[in-house]
Amino acid sequence: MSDSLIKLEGVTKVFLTDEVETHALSGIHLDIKQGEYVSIAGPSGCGKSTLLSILGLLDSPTDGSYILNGRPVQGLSLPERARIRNREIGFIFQSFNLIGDLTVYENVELPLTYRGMPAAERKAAVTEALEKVGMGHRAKHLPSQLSGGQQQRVAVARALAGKPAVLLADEPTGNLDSKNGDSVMQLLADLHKQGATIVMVTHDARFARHADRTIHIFDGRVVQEQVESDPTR
Amino acid sequence: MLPDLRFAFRQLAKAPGFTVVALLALSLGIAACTTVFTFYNALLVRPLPFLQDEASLVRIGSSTQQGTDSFFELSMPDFRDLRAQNTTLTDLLTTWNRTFILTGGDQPQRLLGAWITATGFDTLGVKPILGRNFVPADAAPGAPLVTLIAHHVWRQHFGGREDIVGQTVTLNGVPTEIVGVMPRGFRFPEVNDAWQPFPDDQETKPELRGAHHLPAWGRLKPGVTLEQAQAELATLGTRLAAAYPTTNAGLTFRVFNIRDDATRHFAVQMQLMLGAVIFVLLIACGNVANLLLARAATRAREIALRSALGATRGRLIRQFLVESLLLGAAGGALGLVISFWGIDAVIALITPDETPFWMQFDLDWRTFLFTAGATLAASVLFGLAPALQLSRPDLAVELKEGGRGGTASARASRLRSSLVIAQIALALVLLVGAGLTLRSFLALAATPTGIEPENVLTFRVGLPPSQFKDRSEVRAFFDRVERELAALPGVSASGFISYLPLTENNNISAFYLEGETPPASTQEAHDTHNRSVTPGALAALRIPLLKGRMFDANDHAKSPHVALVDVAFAEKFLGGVDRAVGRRFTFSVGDKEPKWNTIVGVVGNVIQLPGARRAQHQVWFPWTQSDENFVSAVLRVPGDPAAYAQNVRDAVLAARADIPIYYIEPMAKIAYRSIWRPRFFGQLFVGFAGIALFLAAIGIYGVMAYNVSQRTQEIGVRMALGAQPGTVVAMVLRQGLRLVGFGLGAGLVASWFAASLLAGSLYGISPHDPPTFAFVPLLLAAVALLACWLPSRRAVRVDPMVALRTE
Repeated sequence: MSDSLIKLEGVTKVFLTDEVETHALSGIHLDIKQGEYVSIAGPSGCGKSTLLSILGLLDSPTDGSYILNGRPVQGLSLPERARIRNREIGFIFQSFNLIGDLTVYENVELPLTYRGMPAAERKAAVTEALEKVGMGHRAKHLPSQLSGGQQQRVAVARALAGKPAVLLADEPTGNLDSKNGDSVMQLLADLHKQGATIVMVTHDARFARHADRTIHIFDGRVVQEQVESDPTR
Repeated sequence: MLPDLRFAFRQLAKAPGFTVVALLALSLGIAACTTVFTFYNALLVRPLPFLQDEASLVRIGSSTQQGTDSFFELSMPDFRDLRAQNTTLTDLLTTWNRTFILTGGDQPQRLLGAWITATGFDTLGVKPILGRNFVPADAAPGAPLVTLIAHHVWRQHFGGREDIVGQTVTLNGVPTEIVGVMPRGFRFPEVNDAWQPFPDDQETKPELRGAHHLPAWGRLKPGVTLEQAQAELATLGTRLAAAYPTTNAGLTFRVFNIRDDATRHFAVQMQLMLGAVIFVLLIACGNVANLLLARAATRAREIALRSALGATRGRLIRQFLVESLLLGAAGGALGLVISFWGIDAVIALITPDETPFWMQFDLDWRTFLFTAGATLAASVLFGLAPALQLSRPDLAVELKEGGRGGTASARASRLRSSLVIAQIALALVLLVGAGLTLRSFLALAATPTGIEPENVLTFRVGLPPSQFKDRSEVRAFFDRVERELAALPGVSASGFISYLPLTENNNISAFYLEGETPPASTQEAHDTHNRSVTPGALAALRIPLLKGRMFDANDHAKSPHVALVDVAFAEKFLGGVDRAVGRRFTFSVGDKEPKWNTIVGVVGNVIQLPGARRAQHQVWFPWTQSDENFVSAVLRVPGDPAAYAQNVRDAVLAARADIPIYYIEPMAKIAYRSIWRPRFFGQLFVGFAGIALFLAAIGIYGVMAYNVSQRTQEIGVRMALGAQPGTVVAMVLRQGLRLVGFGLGAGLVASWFAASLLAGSLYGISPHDPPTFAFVPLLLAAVALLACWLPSRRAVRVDPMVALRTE
């Protein structure tokens, strides 16, 4: 394993609603190396999605520090956060979050257009990503014309296309049947083998075992870290 | 940009209901703006056609020294003095409208003609397309008579022959050489067909210094300002007043920019109208913004996702603006197309058959630029609110499985409500404006005119004085025509009148009564409208004799001069109707031997023009004691007056085959036209206010319908718990009426101040007219109530089971 890609120190997240303070995360310390496959597990409401949101710069910690790829990112401006999301992070969501009015190709292309990448480079990157997830033949389809598993593959391609430093997957199989779920997990495992750093939130122990390491969260705290003996199972 | 545009297209295509409603609102707003701007542009913006360097062209007239808003024409002696003595103007020109009767064809043709001072067109900077302009020698006594003709006359009467220049035609029985053809569309000063040089030996008598009937123009010398010219003319006015106190004491001269003068009757109304349609466009923008906000709520996740994938706020705003610009461009294009009809419809409301040559209502680049600008501004306006609203999504919440998924935020709700309040307020301002102009017009239309215009046919006929110098020949002609008209079957009364009432033609003269100290100047004398008339014309118009006697055969040119006065005259100057007959007055102000007119009777009041600001009392002289060469004939006929057009034409041709008649019109049409301007602006205002009301109603309906759809589950729970339909309806209505109440409150305050802008153009009502301010908010409230009630009906049809399952 190489150097630290993600480093959280003392990260806390407090939500204020109607004068009630809810501590979603309390003093999280986390260190994820380049090329590592980490799963975050825990019961519903434990704070794992909040943690993933902070990792993905979708949300900011109330306290603590976050260093991504050697750079502190907790106090960045909104445009700068958007730029880092675009270049360093690839998202895979439980509900796929494809844009229904865009074709498969355009969905995968979207983050690259925000990057200002020239059209020819975009085309090459999109084609490569779609081929990697086995969806090259469906480039002109709309998401509504695909099965759930296919949609999630497209979402993975979108996450991959920009060659991000890390893939963040939030319950990537949550909306899939077991066959499609297995297929997507296999895809992630293959990507990991090819060197991708993956952080995945799941509450399914079966899928958590695909990761090198599983971090268990309970009530906003890391309560256990478990290293899998054979992550390829 | 291209992917954004492509996506925007798909968004519009995907939601045809949204697109149609948004396009309808936008295109109505843009069409209203483009239509009004076309007229605003023609009147107040685009350069006056043909005239060189419009900014230095000025209009010159007389004015009383006290009355800053009085403005009347120059007399020829004053014109000549100003022309000779001023140092700030390169030259002055004047025109005098003349009738030119063109003979030599199948039928005599009457042309609208004018004398124009020989260098006039040079001063205006207009050259003929064929031939030459007049030169000073053309106006010299004894010079051969020459004529310039308008382009359409050249085409219609002379077949557009290239060799027309140098040809001799007969105008008013006198051969004249056509020396040139003016450019197509040029009909200075308004709608003339032909021009002749103003003869140097005309209007030269010193006693004509008090006859103010010549419009004058001039051009400022380079570097001279309007103020400098005004100051010099005021000095000259003082000099002339000292030299000619009888006619000029108390008078001064005023100078205006040529456009300011030409547009003074409608500049303010056009500005108000443009303001009104901008309000309409703002209301339309409110509608589209609200629709976009409602739709944006359903796109919250998409926006969050784009943001998660790295779209910056600016990038998201750009995408929203591309979408709104696309919508705006489509609405603008559609609005432009609709405005073609709008312009035609507005032109159809302009009652005069001919408008001055300089009013050109075609679309020019300024109109297109305005439409493009309005479209762009509207697009940014309605697109910006949703863009700003949505470009800061709560990513962690929106992207979460089961995130809000289309529920409006409180901030968006407040924004939507604020937009509706603003729409209602704007619509109320427009409706109050429309209500005031409508009430003002109705008051004007209800003004008693003093005549009964129905079943009366009128036309104009005359013998040009240059051709008919012998009065007995003139009298014989009119006597014959009068007999021919009276003999027409069904004609119950007929006669002549020097100028028809309810037109802008008038004759106002200074006078004093016998027994009063003779005034030293015309400014110190009384003044009154005056007309000459035959008894048959008074009968045909049903102007009643209330006291004394009517003119009769004993009132002829050589008998003592007599007059009839109207009730207003008798009451103002004579102490009442009963004290009028037998009194004498004279127009010979300043004469040592005045010519007295004895009042022989009192007739009913006849107004000059509805809503005229000056007093409208008048005196009538027997036509037999006047020296008019042109008259308006009036005939009371059974049925449709227009059906008598050929009969009257034949009757005049029977008297003389070379004399045409013209302006053959029912008197009712003239009465209708007399209030065309307030009717025109009233109709426009009501039309635009109607559109505003419609758009505001759609806006309220849209917001309430959306609120109901957002509260489906809540309503379901309430109904599951036993809420009565009436309770649910009341709940929805309460929510809507709160918005309406705020909107009406804000609108009433704004209307109160905005109404003052109309003060100058209202007749018979106050700008804060209580009935208008009471009724209009009620009307808007009723429409708003309906717009709230419809969605509330949908709320009570919510099936609790279905509603609860949507959770």
